[in-house]
Amino acid sequence: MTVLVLVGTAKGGFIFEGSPSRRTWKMHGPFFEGFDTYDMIGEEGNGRPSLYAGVNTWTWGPVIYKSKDFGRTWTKAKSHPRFPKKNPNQLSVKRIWNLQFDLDGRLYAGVEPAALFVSEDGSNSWEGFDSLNFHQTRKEWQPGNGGLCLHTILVHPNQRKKLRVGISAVGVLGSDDGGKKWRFMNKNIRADFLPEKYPAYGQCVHKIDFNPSRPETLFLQNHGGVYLSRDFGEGWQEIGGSLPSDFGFPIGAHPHEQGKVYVVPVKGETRYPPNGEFQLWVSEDSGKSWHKSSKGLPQRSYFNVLREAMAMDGKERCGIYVGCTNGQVFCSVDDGKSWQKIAENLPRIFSVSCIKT
Amino acid sequence: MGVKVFVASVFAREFKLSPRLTLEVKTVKDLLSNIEKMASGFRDSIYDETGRIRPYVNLFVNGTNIRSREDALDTLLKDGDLVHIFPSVAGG
Repeated sequence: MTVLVLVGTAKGGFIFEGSPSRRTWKMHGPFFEGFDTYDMIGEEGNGRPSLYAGVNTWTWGPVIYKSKDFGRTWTKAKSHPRFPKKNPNQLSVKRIWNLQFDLDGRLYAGVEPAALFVSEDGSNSWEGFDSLNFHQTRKEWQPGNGGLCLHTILVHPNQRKKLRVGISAVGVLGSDDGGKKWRFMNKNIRADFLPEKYPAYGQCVHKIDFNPSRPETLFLQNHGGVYLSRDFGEGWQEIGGSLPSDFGFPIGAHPHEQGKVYVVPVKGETRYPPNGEFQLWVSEDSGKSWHKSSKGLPQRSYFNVLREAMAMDGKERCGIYVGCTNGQVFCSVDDGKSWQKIAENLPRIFSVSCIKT
Repeated sequence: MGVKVFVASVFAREFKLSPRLTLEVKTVKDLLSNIEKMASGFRDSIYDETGRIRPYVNLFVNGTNIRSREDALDTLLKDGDLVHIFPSVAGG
C-alpha cells in the first residue's frame, strides 16, 4: 500500500509518493503550473480511484482538474462550480477553496464568496445549495482576512443528509435535510472582534474536523479558541485553555484514536509560532490536556501552516503531514513523537491531503 | 469579410483554437458564443456568471480595452473590426 501526499501550492500542485516505510519520498509534478492550487483530494474505494484539484487560474478562472491515474495526468473537468447566471446577488465564483467527497461518491466544493456546490457525476455538472448560497442573512456576511470563504465541508458518514460547513467569517452552518434548510450552529463560539462576544453568526471559524468513526465529535479551530462538540455541532465547549496560543488555522482529528487531536498554535497578531519555534500540540483526551510535539521540527522559524495543510494517511500507524507557508512538508509516522522533512523549496503551501493506493 | 479575432496563444493552446479567426457576428457576446461552439469552456474562461469579463482577461475591440465596461458583452461589432483576446500580464 502506497501513500500519496497531495500538496496544493501557490504555484501548482505536487504529489509525493512514499516508500512502504514512509521514510523516503518521490516527488511528482508540478501540475497546473503557476496556478494557485487551493485543494487536492483523492477518492478511495467505490472502484473509481480519482483525484481532483481546485485550481484558481488567472487565465480562465477557478476550475476543477481531475485525474484517473493517480495524478500522472490531469484534465480540466467538463464543468465547474458556478453561481446561476445573472443571479440577483451578482455573485461569481472567485476561488475554489475546499473539495470533499462523501461515502456515496458525491463531490462537494466550497468556494469564495462563500457557497457550497455538489457534483454527482465527477464534475460533469454541479448544483448549488441555494438556501445556503443565497441565505437571508448573506448581505451581512463579512470576509475574514483571507476572503469570504467556505473552507470546511463535513458530511456525516452514517447520515449523509447531515452537512456542516465552516465559513470565514460567518461561522458554522448545518443542514439535516441534505441542504434544503440551513441554520447557524455557533453556540458558545466566541467572536472577540465583534461587540457581542457570542453572536448568532459572524465568528471566524478557521477549520473543523472529525474522526469518521466517531462523527458526532467535532473539533474546531476558531480565530481565538479551540472547541469541541459532542453532538455534531449543536453546541460547543472551549478546550484550548492550556495551549501556548489558542489561535491557529488547521486542526486534525486522529482517524483511529478517539479524542486525539492536533493543532498548530501561532500568535494571533503576528502568525509566528510561539517563541519562534515551529510546533504542533496534541491532546489525547479531547482537549482536557495538551502536550507539545516538535522533535525534528525547525526551532528558529517564523512560518505558518494554513487551514487546509494538515492531513493524516489513515494507516494503522497513522502518518501525519503538515505543509508550511515556507514550502516545507513534514511527516510523522510515530503519532507526532518525531518529525522528518519530506519536501522543501515548494511554493507557499495551501493544502495537504493523503490517499492510499 | 467578418470580424477578425486574434486569440492569445495561451488560450489558443488550451482550447485547441486557431489563433486567428474570422467570424460573422454582431456583438462581443455573439463572438464568444461562436467560439464556445468550437471550444467548450472558452466562454466561461472569458466572463463569469454575472457577465463581467474575468479580472485577468483583456478584450480589445479595435484597440480599445472594453474589459471594465458594464455592458462589455453588448459591444456592437461590424465587418472589418479587430478583436484581441489576451490574458493580462499579471502574477507574483
